[in-house]
Amino acid sequence: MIALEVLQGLLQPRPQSQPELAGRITGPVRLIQAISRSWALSNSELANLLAYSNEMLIPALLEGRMTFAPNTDRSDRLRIMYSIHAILSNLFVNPADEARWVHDQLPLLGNLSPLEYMLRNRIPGILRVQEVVERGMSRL
Amino acid sequence: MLDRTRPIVISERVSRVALPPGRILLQRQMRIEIDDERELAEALQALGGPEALGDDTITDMANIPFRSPSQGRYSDGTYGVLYAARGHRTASREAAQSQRQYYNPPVGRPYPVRYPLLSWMINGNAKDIRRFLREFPCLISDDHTLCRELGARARAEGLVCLIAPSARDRPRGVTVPIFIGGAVSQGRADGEVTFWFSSEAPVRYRTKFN
Repeated sequence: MIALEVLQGLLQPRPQSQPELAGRITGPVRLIQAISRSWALSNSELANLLAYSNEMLIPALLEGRMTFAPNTDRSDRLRIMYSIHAILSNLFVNPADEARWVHDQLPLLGNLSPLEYMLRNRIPGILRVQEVVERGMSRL
Repeated sequence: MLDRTRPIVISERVSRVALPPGRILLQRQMRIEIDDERELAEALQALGGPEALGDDTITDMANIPFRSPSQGRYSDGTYGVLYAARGHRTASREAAQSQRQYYNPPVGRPYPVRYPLLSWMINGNAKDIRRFLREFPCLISDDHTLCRELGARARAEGLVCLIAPSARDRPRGVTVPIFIGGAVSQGRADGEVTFWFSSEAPVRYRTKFN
């Protein structure tokens, strides 16, 4: 069975050079864009973190040509990842250090980077990184 | 040890280096990243609505350790403790020690990170156990067994907090483990502490007051 979003993404034209054809960027997509930019994520990494089956869907999502469906497992992932991002963004004096931290190996996570840990362990991995950041790094 | 100590009534301001409440952080971040009001409302909804954003005052956030307890020097994780300090220097030194594990910078590329310096008023019965340090050096050791027993006893006695020696700010630093969630009030931000976590040097920090 092909998910509706996959079908929508595949059927939509790819107006890379025609921005006027792009759909409206909604609030949730703004959040995804912020995470992607701050963590320097590839399309493949972002697709994996948001549980999209195909990284080819990511440009359509980020350009507003594909709907981000609310009230799904995917919005839980977004909620958790944005809370991680909000804390990291407030912590680091140099904004570029947020991406550096996400990609640096951390002994606390078995010498995986937080990003690798989330990619390998899926939702439990995202929750573990959230715990490290929310309870550990934010200090409450 | 607690049997040999009389309770005292305290009313003082205690400090902790910690990020502000989740609601403030999330709202601040969304305002930075989204300037369109409609998109902002949609983003807020996607995050679960205003009620899902968490605590919104520094006093409210002091209840977090009591709502979801975790292990620490004075708790085995079955009850909450807000681990505060008497004085900003001790608060910063305690934070520097505990935060080191979260950063693994390559040589020559330290991580500067910035935290607010928060404080709350605490009022109620306490016991001062600092004079027992010579007799019980494990009050500042990395083996937390005795401290956790003391925490459980203090809590059972209904003490609001202990006045204890700091392991990270010797010899004069004082920590204030708080055992009752609603015991603090008048939370505020007193300043900002910047830490530099480096792979080749001890943690440095600088405090800027409001």
